[in-house]
Amino acid sequence: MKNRLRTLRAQHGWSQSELADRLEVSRQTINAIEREKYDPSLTLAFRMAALFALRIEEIFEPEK
Amino acid sequence: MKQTNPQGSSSIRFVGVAAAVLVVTYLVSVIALKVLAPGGTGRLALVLLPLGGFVLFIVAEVRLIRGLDEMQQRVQLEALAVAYPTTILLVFGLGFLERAGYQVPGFERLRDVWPLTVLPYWLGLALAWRRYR
Repeated sequence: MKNRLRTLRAQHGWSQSELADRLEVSRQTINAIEREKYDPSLTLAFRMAALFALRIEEIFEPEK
Repeated sequence: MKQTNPQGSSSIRFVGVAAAVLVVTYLVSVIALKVLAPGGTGRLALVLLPLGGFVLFIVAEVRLIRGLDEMQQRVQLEALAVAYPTTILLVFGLGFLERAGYQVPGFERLRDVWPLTVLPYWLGLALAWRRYR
């Protein structure tokens, strides 16, 4: 699944560690999501959406 | 491994304590069997003493894994999915060879096979981490 997490994080000026702390996950998990190696659960996707005040589909886009 | 729940650091400490208990009970067992050379029930109790440490270690590991985040838990699951069948394969392989009359050097006794239960886990962990890195 494609995502805009890296761009959104950069817009907020957060490091991977800072974003990880805000989402209560590890930095490795943020890195894996940004590199599109791991698709987060719906729960985590909702937490991201709430953090960035966006809808889930504005962050994630399914592979065509 | 970063713990993402509030009890994270206490879970890691618990694993450390459990590992220390395991090592100490094992050493006490080995040394006491050699020095005291007890018989009967005393011998049995000493031989089985490290199992208490093992049980404590299992409890600590489960608690640690419950505190990991979702991707770290996935990594652990994939590591175990590799390790468990691999260990069975290796142990069964040794058993089949033994039945056919072959003895693999270094694995003549049941107590020699313990590395086959640990190494596949590390292999699985390395493979799983590589996938998500």
